[in-house]
Amino acid sequence: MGRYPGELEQMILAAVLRRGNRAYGVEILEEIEGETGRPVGSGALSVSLDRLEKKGLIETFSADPDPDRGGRPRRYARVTESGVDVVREARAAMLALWEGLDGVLDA
Amino acid sequence: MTKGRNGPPRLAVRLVKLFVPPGMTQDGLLGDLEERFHVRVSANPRRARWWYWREAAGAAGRHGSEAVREAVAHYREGDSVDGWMRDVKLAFRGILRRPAFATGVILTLALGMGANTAVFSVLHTVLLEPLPYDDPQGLVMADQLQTTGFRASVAMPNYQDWRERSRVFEAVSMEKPETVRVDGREGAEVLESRLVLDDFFQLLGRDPVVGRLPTPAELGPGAERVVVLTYGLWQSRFGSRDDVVGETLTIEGEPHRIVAVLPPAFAMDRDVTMYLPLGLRADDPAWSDRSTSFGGWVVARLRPGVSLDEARADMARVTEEMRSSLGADHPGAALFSMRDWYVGDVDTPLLFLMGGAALVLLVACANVASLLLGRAEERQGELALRTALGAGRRSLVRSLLADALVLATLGGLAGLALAAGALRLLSDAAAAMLPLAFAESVSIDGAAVLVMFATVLLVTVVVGVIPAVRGVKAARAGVSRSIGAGRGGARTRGILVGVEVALSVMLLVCTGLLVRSVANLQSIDTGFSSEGVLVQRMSVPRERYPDRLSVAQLQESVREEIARLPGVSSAAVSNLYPFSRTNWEMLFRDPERWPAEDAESVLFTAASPAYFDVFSIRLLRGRLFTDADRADTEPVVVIDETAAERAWPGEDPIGKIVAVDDVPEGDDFVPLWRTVIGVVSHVRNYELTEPSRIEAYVPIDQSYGCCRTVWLTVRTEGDPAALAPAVRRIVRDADPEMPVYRVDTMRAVVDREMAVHRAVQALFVVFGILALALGAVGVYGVVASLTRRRRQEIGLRVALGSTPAAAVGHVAGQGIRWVLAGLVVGIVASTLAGRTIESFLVGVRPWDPAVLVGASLALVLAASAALLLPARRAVREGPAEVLKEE
Repeated sequence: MGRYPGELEQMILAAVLRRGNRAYGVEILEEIEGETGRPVGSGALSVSLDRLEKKGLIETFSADPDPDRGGRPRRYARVTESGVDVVREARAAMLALWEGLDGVLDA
Repeated sequence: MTKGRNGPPRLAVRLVKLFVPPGMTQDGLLGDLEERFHVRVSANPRRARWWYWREAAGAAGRHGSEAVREAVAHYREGDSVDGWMRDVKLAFRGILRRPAFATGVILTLALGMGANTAVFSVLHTVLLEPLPYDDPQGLVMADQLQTTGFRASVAMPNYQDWRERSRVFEAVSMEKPETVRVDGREGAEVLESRLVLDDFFQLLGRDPVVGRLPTPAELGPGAERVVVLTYGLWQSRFGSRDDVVGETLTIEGEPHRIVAVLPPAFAMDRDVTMYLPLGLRADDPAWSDRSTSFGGWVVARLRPGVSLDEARADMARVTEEMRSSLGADHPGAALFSMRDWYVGDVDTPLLFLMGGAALVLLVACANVASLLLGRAEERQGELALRTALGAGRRSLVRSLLADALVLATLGGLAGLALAAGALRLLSDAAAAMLPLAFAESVSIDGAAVLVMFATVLLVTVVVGVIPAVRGVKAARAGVSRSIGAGRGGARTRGILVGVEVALSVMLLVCTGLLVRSVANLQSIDTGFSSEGVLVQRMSVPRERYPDRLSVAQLQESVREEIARLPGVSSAAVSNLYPFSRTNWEMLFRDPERWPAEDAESVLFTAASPAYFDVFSIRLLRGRLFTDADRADTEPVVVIDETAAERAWPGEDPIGKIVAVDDVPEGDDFVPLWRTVIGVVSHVRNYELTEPSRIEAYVPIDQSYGCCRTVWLTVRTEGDPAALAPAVRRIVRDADPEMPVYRVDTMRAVVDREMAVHRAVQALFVVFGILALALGAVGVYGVVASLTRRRRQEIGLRVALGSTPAAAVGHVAGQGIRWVLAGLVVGIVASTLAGRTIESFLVGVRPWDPAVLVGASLALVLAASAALLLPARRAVREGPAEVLKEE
């Protein structure tokens, strides 16, 4: 398997970065759903955050407990340097693969 | 912290906590869920809770499978996967070695889970997501609320006023049911249609499969003859051809152009085949008559953010405005959410079913717990031995877990299979309760399966593993297994038996009450006899019979022909019959009081004289009308006993004058004053369990405006269904293009009225039997293991001269204590449970002594059999063998 992130994991990394590299669950879900229209379950997100953290691609920390959340703290995520590297590699790989496909994809 | 009804469902929170690792992951997830839940809950609490359950189940599933993946990856590095595999294999072998125990557990789990999954799946489809339209929460329906308290279909001018004056609706439309004759190559056919007006299609928000839906302008007065097909008719009649748009369909003798095909499951009523513009009926005099209900109801969409209560308040304001100009007896509007309009009636029976199924699951869980406890006790010897041989605690727990997991999985799978079977039965029941399209599309609900499976797994693991682990500890501590552990276990199992008995009694009492209700329903005096009666509808085509006289002559000649058929004792023509669901509401006007006082609404039956004979309606006073009461003789009316009592209490109603219908005079309609000639018994026309409104019968020849479409009702000495072909032939001979439809026996019509009660009763009988069987198995299990442990004692007692009966009695007495305690608790609880189903009971009180005694007896008998079997076996073995064994 290695460090290479799956599609949902890439989306999560991108979403956290788009939010100024500090975002918690609800924000990440909003970012992904808002930009891609793809609904993501809270469970899927939570499992993916665990995995990304184990791979060292993000760091998470607790902060800002809120009565609206039953008094529970938010789990914030921050993309690590190696996480940024991985996103960059993934983008480069996809761009390389898309090269020359404009005619097909724009049709 | 938010809790209770405004907070997320607590059980779902528990589910998440069970599967998601505690700490930051769990807190973050639960916090996110709650935050998103609060956003949803204000819009729709029920939906929000449902959403939360789905998210929670999804999260539990994700984290659960992640944990399994990690565990597998972890064990792959060592040899522990082999250990697991070995334990699972051993568990299977154990099952084969003790098939009775394993079958008991698996079957118990399967029954409990199967019943629940099936009932919950129906409940979910019918109660939570029943409407196939866009944003269904905003949809409402309305009809007229008369000042008499009865509801009626909406008069067109009132509809127009509501539409103009109300401020709460985004869109308003009208829908009117009508049966229409459709001509085809194989002769005429009568189909159910809906005539619709204004924004009907737009407010429901579903796109056609083919073609373009008519705009509001295309549905109003001056509409072209167009027709929108339902998906079903498109399939059956046009073979799902895409090029059907533009073709014509001959409806009531007129070609109608097909403009669109609706998506599947569009019409709530599954008999509906097509939609037509209501504007086609704009030349009907009733279109502009405020006092005539037009036969339709209102379908509307609320403006965003408007609640049903606000909408009701606004309609009350509109009614007040209209009353100030039109008089105090102007009708109001009865407004309902669309969901309640269609499925409101079945909320209660379905919730009863859910309650019954939940009780079965509880009995099943108690039973499994008891069986597993017994098994754990039995295994303590084995576990102690394995410990002595050097097995680690970890491997012992693993083998116990494997046992529990295998049992739970097999039970769960069997339950799923059972649920699939039960669902077929249940969706038939649901279809009987609701004539709605979705009743046929109930499928097993994923969330229900997940929750049920998690529950069962939890019970199995907690009950199967914890006591065994405790046993292991005891064994390691070197405590002899015969002391201590066994006695505490016996008490726990005794309590479980008591709980099972109590729950079973509750279920049995509810079952008994429902069985008696249905029996009472069958013997209710409806005021008419349904035996030997055949009913069918007949529509006289407008083209060849343009006037009243020709219609009446044709109907009468058909009726006479039918009356001459062999075996037929009488035949009648009428505008309705009991439970025909045809509403003819008129006003009962006494000239001495009206119009000063409000007139009461009356059910108006126009019939030929034989009608009373066909339905055996009893004459109480005066005379019935005869063939001599014709159009040109004095207008007469026969009223029912409730009308007589209400209008002229304590007086003789014969000879009184009253109007129940109107006749045209110039441009206006005036009351037709009739002489009361007879009083008949009251007939229940709408509900078996409740009297109808007051009733009046007039000779069909004397009734203006009735009827091109009539019911032909026939009484025969033989099987009424066998008569149907002969009746059809007579009608076809009279006019080949006059279809006969809605052919039914009265027996079937009345049976359908009891369908909901019957369906609920049938399912409760199943639940009751399950509870009884599970209860008996539970009692048997406990007593069997008690006696096994006390065989020595029984053997000794018999050896020392005690009679076998006394010895058995002593042991059985231990079990009986728990059974009796459960019985007492159960009876008390069931009178409470009975009260919750009281609204559904007919002619029987929740504390009906016969039912309470019957249920208790059934349980005591089942429990006694379960008690005596093992005890007798112990006695029969003989003291010598038992003592030798030790």
